[in-house]
Amino acid sequence: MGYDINCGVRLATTALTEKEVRPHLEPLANRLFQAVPSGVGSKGSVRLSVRDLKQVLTQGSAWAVARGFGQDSDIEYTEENGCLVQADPGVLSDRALQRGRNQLGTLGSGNHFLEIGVVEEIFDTHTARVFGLVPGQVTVMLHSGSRGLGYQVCDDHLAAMKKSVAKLGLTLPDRQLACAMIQSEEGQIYLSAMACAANYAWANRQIMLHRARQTFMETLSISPNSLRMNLLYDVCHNIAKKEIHTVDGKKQTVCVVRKGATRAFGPGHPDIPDRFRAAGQPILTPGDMGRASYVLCGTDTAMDQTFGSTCHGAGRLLSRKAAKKAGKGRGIQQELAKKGIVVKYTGRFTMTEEMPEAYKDVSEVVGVVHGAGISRMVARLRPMAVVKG
Amino acid sequence: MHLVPLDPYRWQIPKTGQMRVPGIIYSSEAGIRAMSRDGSLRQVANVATLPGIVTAAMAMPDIHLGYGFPIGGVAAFDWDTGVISPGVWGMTSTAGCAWPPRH
Repeated sequence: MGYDINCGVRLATTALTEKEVRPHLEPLANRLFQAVPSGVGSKGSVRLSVRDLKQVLTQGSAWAVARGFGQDSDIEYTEENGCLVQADPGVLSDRALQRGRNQLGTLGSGNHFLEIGVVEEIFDTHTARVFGLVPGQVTVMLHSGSRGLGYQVCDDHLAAMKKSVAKLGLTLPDRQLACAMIQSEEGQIYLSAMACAANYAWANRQIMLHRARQTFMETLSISPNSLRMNLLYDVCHNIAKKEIHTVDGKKQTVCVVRKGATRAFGPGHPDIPDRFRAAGQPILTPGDMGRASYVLCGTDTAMDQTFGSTCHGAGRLLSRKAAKKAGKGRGIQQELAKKGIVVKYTGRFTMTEEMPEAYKDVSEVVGVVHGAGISRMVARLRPMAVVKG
Repeated sequence: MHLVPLDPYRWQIPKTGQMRVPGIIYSSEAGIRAMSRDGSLRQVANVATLPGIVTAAMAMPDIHLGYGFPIGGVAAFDWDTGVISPGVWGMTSTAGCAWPPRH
């Protein structure tokens, strides 16, 4: 699934340097590839009864941490503390629930990935220090979402919304924009279902972070204290949220839709963890697997202009079909290996569909949001190893 | 589509037809040329027609064509008078990745 509910990114910092990790990179990538199942319809090692699944859907990250998948601080450094309270599993279809039972802790396919990276350049020394980023430091980035369950929620509700449009007497310029009033029964049921999928996605990323911690410790034979793989932040980039913003000088309660866009709250916002509040919210902007990813920071300008929002990544340049054609006959894995990037993947066409040239240059995208002032550049990361679906 | 440059990084789609608010695109000039080709700017204008939308329909520099709502899109809807659309999460009729949309 490419663009699913609470598709998002999390970044963890470590106490390790590139020099320490480089000699173990190949076995590390192999073991991560085994520990975090990937590919279309991949199943994880966490199998849930419907009763347990319903707890995941109402509790999100906290469910995973309470069962030993992570540490308490992981919850604090996750957007919304990894849980939307409006979740009500009672509104999900049986099919959505069934699809969620065995996919927790799995990456999925498409553009989702787990990446070992290194901090290559710092642009804002003070904010980087607040975020715990130093040059040469090894990081782990995860990009995944709500898997088949989130997909099913969309599918189930789209049909209901088509009926709602007729009821409202709306003429839409595009049938794909089928919608319901937020305050209608359909609208509220949908928001409850969406919150379930969002919470599932947070629990999913939480379990994968735990697997990454275990894999690093086992492969490098080090203790948690030598690894110190701490979650810097987890952002969602596909979600609708109830927020209060200042519009024309007045406070207004709105539903902010960020589809392939990231929250970018500025300094002082109460929803930012204490440690970062004076600096602004950390923003994670992944690029393609050959170039770079960025850590940015939220700004007051974003609050004024974009309801506290910014870009979410590089954005595709070529369609999957066009990329497959352009990359035919090329050994993308070998090309990346020459640049020192180890790639492990599942799908037959993953390497060509996801090759660096299929994406816009993330540095250009980040240059625009930095130039416009809706976020500020803090650090650039370079990929060392990538696990793909 | 007619675009008005606001500053080096912002472009406006002026309010026309059924649009309730303007569209605002964050992009470089080179980026705008690429976006103009795939239909995603039309999607920004379409989002601007939805009931309860506040201030503007916005798009980030990584925008591309999505299902109904462009990927890289941002919009805020009044909590009391606005709408919510499940299609915004980029559904396609097939499993797998949602780009390009098959419809």
